[in-house]
Amino acid sequence: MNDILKISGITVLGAALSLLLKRTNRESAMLCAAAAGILILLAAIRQLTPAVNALKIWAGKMGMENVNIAEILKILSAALVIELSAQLCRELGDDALAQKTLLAGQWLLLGMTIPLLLEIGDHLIRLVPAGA
Amino acid sequence: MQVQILLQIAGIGLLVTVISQILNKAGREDLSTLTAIAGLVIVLVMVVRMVGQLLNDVQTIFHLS
Repeated sequence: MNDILKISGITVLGAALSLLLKRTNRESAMLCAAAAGILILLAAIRQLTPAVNALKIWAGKMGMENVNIAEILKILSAALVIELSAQLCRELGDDALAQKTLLAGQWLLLGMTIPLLLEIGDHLIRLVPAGA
Repeated sequence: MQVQILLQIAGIGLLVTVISQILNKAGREDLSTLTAIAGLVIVLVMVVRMVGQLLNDVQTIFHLS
């Protein structure tokens, strides 16, 4: 509850300050809005820690290889960072650069995901008996 | 630290606006431009530091370091 109040307060304050600065000092208004966005994400991202830790513990219990879980977490965090930087860029007023960042992130994530998909394919081939 | 930094950024923005308008009225456009650039750089450094902290947090939360 405390975090939600903090996030809503930061949102309203950031919007008000950005509005105050918008007419006289546009760059500062944009940076103020960006700082508010970063503060919101900083307040929220700590809440992810127990979920990620639980996921790791669960994967250990299921006997999954730790390598795969690390890879999945890496892909997840890469997606998070790409989306975050694209939104920050859009906030600062450059839409085209944000789109390019998203596109580059998609290519990167595709490159990171395809080995995992191929591994699943290998497992499937092993499950289906040969010649069936 | 959380909310103060937002107020700091807004305060720097307001201060820079006032100073550069005064300098403009006094006929020192060059100094006014320099003031605006200095304010922008200060705010940018603060924002970049926050972005770095956020990325660090992502790295520690996902056990990537």
